[in-house]
Amino acid sequence: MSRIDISRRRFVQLAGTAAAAPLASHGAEPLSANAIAVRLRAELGGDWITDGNDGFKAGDPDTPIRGIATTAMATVDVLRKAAGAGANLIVTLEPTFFGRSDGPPPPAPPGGRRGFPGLSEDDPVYRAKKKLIEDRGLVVFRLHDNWLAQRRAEMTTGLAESLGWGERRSDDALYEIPATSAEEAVAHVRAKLGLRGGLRAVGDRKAAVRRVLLYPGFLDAQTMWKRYRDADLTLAGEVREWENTCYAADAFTAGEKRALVTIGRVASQDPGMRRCAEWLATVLPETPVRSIPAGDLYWRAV
Amino acid sequence: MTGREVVAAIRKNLGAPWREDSYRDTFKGGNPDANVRGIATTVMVTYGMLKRASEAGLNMVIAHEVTYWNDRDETKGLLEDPLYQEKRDYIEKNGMIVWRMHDHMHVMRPDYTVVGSLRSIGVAGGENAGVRPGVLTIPEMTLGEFASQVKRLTGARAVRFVGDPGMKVRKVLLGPGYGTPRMTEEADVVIGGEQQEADGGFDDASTQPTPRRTG
Repeated sequence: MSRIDISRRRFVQLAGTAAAAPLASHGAEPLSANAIAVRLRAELGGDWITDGNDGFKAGDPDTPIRGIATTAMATVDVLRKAAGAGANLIVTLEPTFFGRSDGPPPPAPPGGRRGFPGLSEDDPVYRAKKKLIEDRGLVVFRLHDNWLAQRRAEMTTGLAESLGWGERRSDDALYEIPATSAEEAVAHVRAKLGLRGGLRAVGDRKAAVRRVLLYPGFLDAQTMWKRYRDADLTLAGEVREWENTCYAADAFTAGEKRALVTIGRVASQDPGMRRCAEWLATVLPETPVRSIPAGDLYWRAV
Repeated sequence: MTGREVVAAIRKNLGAPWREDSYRDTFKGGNPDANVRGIATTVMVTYGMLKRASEAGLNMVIAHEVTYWNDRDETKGLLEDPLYQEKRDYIEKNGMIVWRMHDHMHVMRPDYTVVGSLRSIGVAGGENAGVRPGVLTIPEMTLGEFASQVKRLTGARAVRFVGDPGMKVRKVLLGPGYGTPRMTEEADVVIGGEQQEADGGFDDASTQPTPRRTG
């Protein structure tokens, strides 16, 4: 037997050295959230969009970062899971505070603002979420415009991978899958993505399906008009009902053997943010990176 | 009566000022001066709805929402679209007239889209409600029970919920269509037609002006 016998005392010394080694060998403290943002921006490439949605949304950017979690949506559930897993920087594709302004909007212009009033400073959900972030020492960074500008394809690739169709791409959105029916494809999507109540389908449930268009996120009407006939099934995150949903319903009435399936914006973007975590791990080797899916937020009545 | 005369009668009886500048409430298809044999109202002029109206002998459709899948019923990008052509031709060939009544529904008191929605989910009150009916009280039940009630009464297959199915609900805040209200402390449950999941429709590159780029 050639096993080297190590005394208990010696083992403790070795273990102690090993634990300290990563920090000692890099000779540096963990990167701050700010430093990570700078690295991310440099590695992503292209012109950084500064006047859009991206940037720090909560927490102190000077916080030393022990771990990063990417997600489609920084829900309270995701924030808790991230904190529990030792990740204190959350990189989120969608807003943390329920809208484009990602918090209470700036004061209304003279004459007021159209539509429903924005989020109030006193909103209890806003306050509780903000407090959770502060109490757990988390930092939230939104990465939307720049990620999509440079890496939009990753969102489609991630979704296709999760559906087991990764090798079957034929253009930016079109995939050729093993022959099935719309109904069976829906069951496949539901099972693969672990969906609960968010999925909706419109059109011909018996349609033969081989060609599938994937549009994670929001599918606008113009794109759908242009491409709906390139596929047997179009799978998107979310749409507007009076636009795409009714177009698919009308196509069905006209006898077209196709279907539109929406799975929820967030559920459709989680797989792409898993790809984002994989990419971040390559540009931030000193920081642990993981993805935490926000998942399907909906349930159905019984 | 012609289609135009039907709209004039609506205008006369609306009980609110007419909005000449509404791009929504206009004729969307057919000849407004053709005679009306019968009227069908609907929330959405789907192709299936048009066929059912025509087969029932009703040649005028008054719809709250759109015919050609966009708010302005803009057809410029659709002229070569086979589905657009088929729907447009169906309206013409069958002597139908389509008029949209959206903005003028929402200035009426009550707003029938709101009262109709409330009644359809079994919520009493709000008889004279405007487009924002405020919080209404229902007999206490769990959210799961309320969900079952909504599903059963509306027959809606697509209804989805977020929140704790076991929580007790009494205060309901409704906004039909795209007008899902913000959640407030005054309401236990907020119910709407649809909304963007991230409230982020305007975040999407396709629906907002391209942001300026800086180095």
